[in-house]
Amino acid sequence: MYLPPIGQDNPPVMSVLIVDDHPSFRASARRLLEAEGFNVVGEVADGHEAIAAALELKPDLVLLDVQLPDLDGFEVAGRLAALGLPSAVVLTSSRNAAEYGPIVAETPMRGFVPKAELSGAILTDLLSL
Amino acid sequence: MNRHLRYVGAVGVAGAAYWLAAKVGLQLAYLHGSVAALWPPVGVGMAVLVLYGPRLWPGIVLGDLAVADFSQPVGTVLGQTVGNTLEVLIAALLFYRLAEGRTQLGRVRDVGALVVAAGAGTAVSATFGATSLRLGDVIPGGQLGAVWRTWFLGDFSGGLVFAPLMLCWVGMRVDAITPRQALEGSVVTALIVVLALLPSQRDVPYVVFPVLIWAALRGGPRGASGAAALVTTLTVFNTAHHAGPFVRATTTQSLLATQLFVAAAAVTSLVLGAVIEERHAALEALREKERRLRDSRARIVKAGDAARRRLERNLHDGAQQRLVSLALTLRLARIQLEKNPAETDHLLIEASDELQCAIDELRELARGIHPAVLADRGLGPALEVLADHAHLPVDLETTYPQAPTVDRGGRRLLRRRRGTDKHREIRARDVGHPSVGREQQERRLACWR
Repeated sequence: MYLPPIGQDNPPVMSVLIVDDHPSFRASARRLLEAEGFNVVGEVADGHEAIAAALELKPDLVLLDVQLPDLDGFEVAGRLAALGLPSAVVLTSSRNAAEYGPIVAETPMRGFVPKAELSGAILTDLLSL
Repeated sequence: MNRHLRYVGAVGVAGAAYWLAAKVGLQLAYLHGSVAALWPPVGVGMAVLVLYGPRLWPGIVLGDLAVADFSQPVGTVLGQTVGNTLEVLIAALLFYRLAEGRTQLGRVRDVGALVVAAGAGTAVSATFGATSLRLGDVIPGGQLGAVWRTWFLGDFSGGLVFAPLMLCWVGMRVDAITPRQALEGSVVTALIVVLALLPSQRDVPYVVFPVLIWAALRGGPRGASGAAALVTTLTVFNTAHHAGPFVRATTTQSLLATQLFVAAAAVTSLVLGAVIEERHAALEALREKERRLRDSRARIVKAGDAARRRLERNLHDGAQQRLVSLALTLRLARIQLEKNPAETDHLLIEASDELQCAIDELRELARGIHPAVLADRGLGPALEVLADHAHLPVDLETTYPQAPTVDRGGRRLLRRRRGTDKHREIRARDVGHPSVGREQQERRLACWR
């Protein structure tokens, strides 16, 4: 898990935890979201690390990949909701939401964003819902 | 010591079996026991030597001497015993060789082997026997031919009827017979007895053939041999008691008629039984092939599914991730175009590199899942390219006594060669990525060439 230094100037409005097992996606997403004013407070690569980091960092948003090496994103989202964390969860995947079927609608989360369509504006829209 | 005792015991049992069969044969003999139309000891002795080994031949000698007629000159008795022993031994060895060790008469070829073997052995015995009788002056010279023929046909019939009976039925597990088979067998047996013994049927001996066919169709060689033995024994018994369709004006004529019927009934039944058995074997082989084909198809489908899953995974982890990063980088470039135009140029170069990497990976994927460089330049360069393209920084150190060729390097690695060749190794040090705090670790990749 990577934790950035505390006490930056002009702190961003939204804190984000990025959960994805691909380092290249985590790096790209971090740069993009930080450029759009988000504060990326952590990156982790699997489901168990995601739950531990969310409990510790309590981010405003967890950007959660569906395909993780241990638990899948739906399972992680369910566990985070069961823990009563205030963090909003947005699932992301290389696939479209329709490919996963009804489980997308049944999962406690704020929304679903295909990876290629990720942007700060979309996340802001989802969080404002 | 135990081995010798066991052998002596086995010889004794073989002799007893031969003797018992001879006693039964004498019950079927004509002219108050002096001429046998059907001589069971030939078949029994032959089957004993086939099933338990030709080294038991002394048992045949003992059994034959036990039923010998010692009112004849000793030379005549010994001559017949030598002939009878050679008969059984030759027939057993010849049958075993011609049938290639298959003793269950499950092929038409095996029935042919039985006919040839029994005929050859019997010819020897008839020659020894008739000559011994003549030399001992037991028979006049004018009867030599008729005696030889009767001897030959009686022994030949005995071989054709009783050798198959023993070969097919000895060692059969009684508990393997289903109640339905037992019932059907009982019905066939009863029908044969009724048809053979009913006075009104005695003039039409062929009426038993439908039942013989039934037995062969349903029971294969076992049913055929059992039914043929029963039919022929009853027929010979009837004729010996001057009853039935084969009673002729003279004993010689009656013998000939009976023996020809016995041979015809036995061979016909055995051939049909063998054909049925061959059909069952062919069906079984076909089912086995079908099962293997089904398994093979299932394996192919499974392998195809695994290959597709691997391909999907490779696409997902490779080119797709690079394209996603490219999309995000371009989106970031657009943002930076407004905020920090100087940064945009750097981002566009990065995006271009990422796009080239994605193109390269797709090209490699399209060329048979494995990197093109593996086929072009070998394993070492392929690993270097892999390390260069890895998301984590990797130091690669390869050690080859000689540069592997395409065939001897790359392809052999992909085929996962067995460890019979010299073992060589490549080491790769994975430095780890500081941002994820991974410890430096050493990874050992092994290959065989």
